[in-house]
Amino acid sequence: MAIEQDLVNAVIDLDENKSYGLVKKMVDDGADPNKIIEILKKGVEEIGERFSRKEYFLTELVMAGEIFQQSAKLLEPILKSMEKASKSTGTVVIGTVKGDVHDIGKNIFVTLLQVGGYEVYDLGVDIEPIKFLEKVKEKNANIVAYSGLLTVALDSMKETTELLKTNGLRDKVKIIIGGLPVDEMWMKEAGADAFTDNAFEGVKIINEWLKSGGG
Amino acid sequence: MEKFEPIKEEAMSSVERVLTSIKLKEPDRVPVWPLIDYLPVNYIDVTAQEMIEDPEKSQWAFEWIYHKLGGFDIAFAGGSFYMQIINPFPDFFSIFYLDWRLPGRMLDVNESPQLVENALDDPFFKVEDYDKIIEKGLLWKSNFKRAGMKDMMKLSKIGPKVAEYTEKWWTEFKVPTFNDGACSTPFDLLSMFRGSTNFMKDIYRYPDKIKEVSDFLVDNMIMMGQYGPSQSGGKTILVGGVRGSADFISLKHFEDLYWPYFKKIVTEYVNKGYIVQLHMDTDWTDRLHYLKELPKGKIYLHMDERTDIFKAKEILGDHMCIEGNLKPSLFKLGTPSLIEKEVKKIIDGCAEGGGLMVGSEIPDDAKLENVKAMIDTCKTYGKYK
Ligand code: B12
Repeated sequence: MAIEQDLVNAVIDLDENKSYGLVKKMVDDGADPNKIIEILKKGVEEIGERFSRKEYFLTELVMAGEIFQQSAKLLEPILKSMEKASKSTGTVVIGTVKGDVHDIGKNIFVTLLQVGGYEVYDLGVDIEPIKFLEKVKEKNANIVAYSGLLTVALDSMKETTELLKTNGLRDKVKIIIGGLPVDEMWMKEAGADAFTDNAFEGVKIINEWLKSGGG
Repeated sequence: MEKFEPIKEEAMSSVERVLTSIKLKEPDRVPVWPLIDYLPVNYIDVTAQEMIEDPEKSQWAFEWIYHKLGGFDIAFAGGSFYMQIINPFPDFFSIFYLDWRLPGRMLDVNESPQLVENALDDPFFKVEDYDKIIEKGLLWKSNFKRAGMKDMMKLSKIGPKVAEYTEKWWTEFKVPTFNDGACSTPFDLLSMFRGSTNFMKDIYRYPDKIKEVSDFLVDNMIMMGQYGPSQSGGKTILVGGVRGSADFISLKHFEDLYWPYFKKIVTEYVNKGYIVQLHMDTDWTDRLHYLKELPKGKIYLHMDERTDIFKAKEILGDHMCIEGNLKPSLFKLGTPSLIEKEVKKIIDGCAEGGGLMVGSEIPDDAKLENVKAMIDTCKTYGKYK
C-alpha cells in the first residue's frame, strides 16, 4: 500500500528518478502492470486538478505526461507478454487545422489523451481537411479533434467538418475543438460537438462521451 | 495612391499623444494602436512578399492603411520586416536560426510568414548544445538554407530606406514608429530553439544549465536588439515575453529563470534612452506586480486578452502606460458595434489619469470596418475633458 502512495506522490512532485525507481521496484516485486498504470494515472489526474486551480502550470503538465510515458515504457515488455489488458477506450484523430501551425497546446492535449488510454493519431500542424478524412476512415476513429489559434482556423474547421459530412462520416464521430479563441460560436460554426480551452477539460469531455456510449 | 482626405487635425499630434501617455499624463484623447502586419495585402496591390522584401512598396502599403483608416497613433516603417527577418543575429525572427517560411520563397506570395517549431523529435538545439553555446557562442548554428549571402548583403540597401521612412513617420506624419528593434529573453529564445515541449522538460531536468546559458547570452541579446535602431535611427525597442507567463510556467520558475533577465534587458534599454514597448502575449495577470520593478513612466505595456487589463490598471496604473484586453479574433469575427462596446469598457475602466493606450494585434484577415470602429471610438469617446 505504502509504495503505491509513494508513487502517486512522486508523480505529483514531478520527481522523475523517484517515480521510475518506484515503478521498477514494483515490477520487481511482481505488481500487476495495469495496476501500476492506474496508480500513475491517479498522479497525473491530481496534477490536472492542480492545473485547473492554477497551482500547476503547463510545464508541470508536460512533465507529468513525460513521467507517465517513460514509466509506461518501462512496463511495455511485461505488458506485451501478458494479454493486452486494458483495451483502448477510443480512437482519436487530431491535428492543428489548415493554415495554422500553433501546436504547443495541441501537443499537451495529445499527451493527456495518451495518458487517458486513448489511441491517438496526431496528424501534426497545418492539416488539410482531406488528411483528417483519410485518417478517420483508415483508423475507424470515433473522435475527431481540431486545434486552432488563428481566425483562419475557423474556416478550416468548417471545411473539415463539411468534408466529413459529404463523406457520410459526420454522424459516426464526435468532434471536439480546442485552442485559445474557441467558444460556443466557434463550435457551432465549425459544426463541432464540444469546445474547450483547457486540455484537461477536453479529456473529461471525451471520457463522458464514451461513458454514455456516444461517439 | 488612392486619394484620401487629409488626416483630421486634433489637439495633439500622435507623437505628443503617445509620449504624454507614456509619461502617465492625460493627453487630448486615448491613443489608439492597431498593430498591423500584413493586413494591406488583402486590400491593395501589394503581396506579402513585397511587404517584406520591397521597402518602397511596404511603406506605400503602410501609408495606405494609415490613411484608409483615417489615421492612428503608432505605425511601422516600410522595410522593417526585412531587417527583422533577414537579421543576421540569432534572435526570434531571424531566418538564419529558426524555421521561418517566407511568402514567395516557401509559401505563396500572399501568405504571411510562418514559423514552424516542429521540434519534438529533432529539435534545432539538442541538450548537448547548451554547453556548446557557452563554448562557441550562437553563430555556429546559423543556417543559410532559407536565405543566402545575397539576402544578407541587401541589408545595407534596406537600412537607409528604413531610416528614411522612420524619419518620415516621426516628422512628416508625426506618428511614432514601433519595433525599431526587438529583443526577448534568453528563456524565450532557448524555448524556440529547443521546441517548447522539450524546453519545459529541460526546466525540470537542467535548470542550472538554462541559467548558465542565460547568463552567457543576455548581454549579447541586449546588443542584438539594438541592431535595428543602429541602422534606422529609430528610438523604440520592443521586448517580447511569451513563455514566462502563467500560461506556461510557475512563479517559482519565473523568478528563477525568467524575471532577472527580463528586468535586466528592459532596464538597460531604458537607461540607454530607448522607448521600450513590452509585448506580452498570453496571461501575465499573476505576475504583473513584478513590472513595478521596471523604470517608471518610460515604458508601454501591450497585453493580449489573456491578461486582465483592469488588474493591470490597479497594479501598474501609476507606473507604466498600458494597452490590451482586445481579442484579435474579434477583428475578423466581430462587428463594429461589438468592438465599440469593448473599447468603451476599456476606456471607462482604465483611461482616468492617463497612461492608457487602446490597441490589439490585428489579424491579417481582419475586416477594415472593425479596425476603424476601434480607432473612431478612441477619437470620440476617448477624449479627455
Ligand atoms: C506561441 C505563439 C506562436 C508560436 C507558436 C509555436 C508553436 N509551436 O505552437 C509562433 C511564434 C510560431 C507563432 C506564430 C504565429 N502566430 Co502566434 N501565438 C503564440 C501565442 C503567443 C501563444 C500560444 C500558445 O502556445 N499558448 C499556450 C497554449 C498552451 O495554449 P493553447 O494553445 O490555447 O492550448 C491550451 C488549450 O487551448 C488546449 N488546447 C489546445 N488545442 C486543443 C485542441 C483540443 C481538441 C482541445 C480539447 C484542447 C486544446 O490545451 C492547452 C492547455 O490547456 C499566442 C498568443 C496567445 N495569447 O495565445 C499567439 C497568437 C495565437 N498568434 C497569432 C499570430 C497572428 C501568429 C502569426 C500569424 C504571426 C505572424 N504574422 O507570423 C504566426 C502564425 C503562423 C501560423 N500560420 O500558424 C495571434 C492570432 C491572432 C488571430 N489571427 O486570431 C495570437 C493570438 C497573438 C496575438 N495576440 O495576436 N505564434
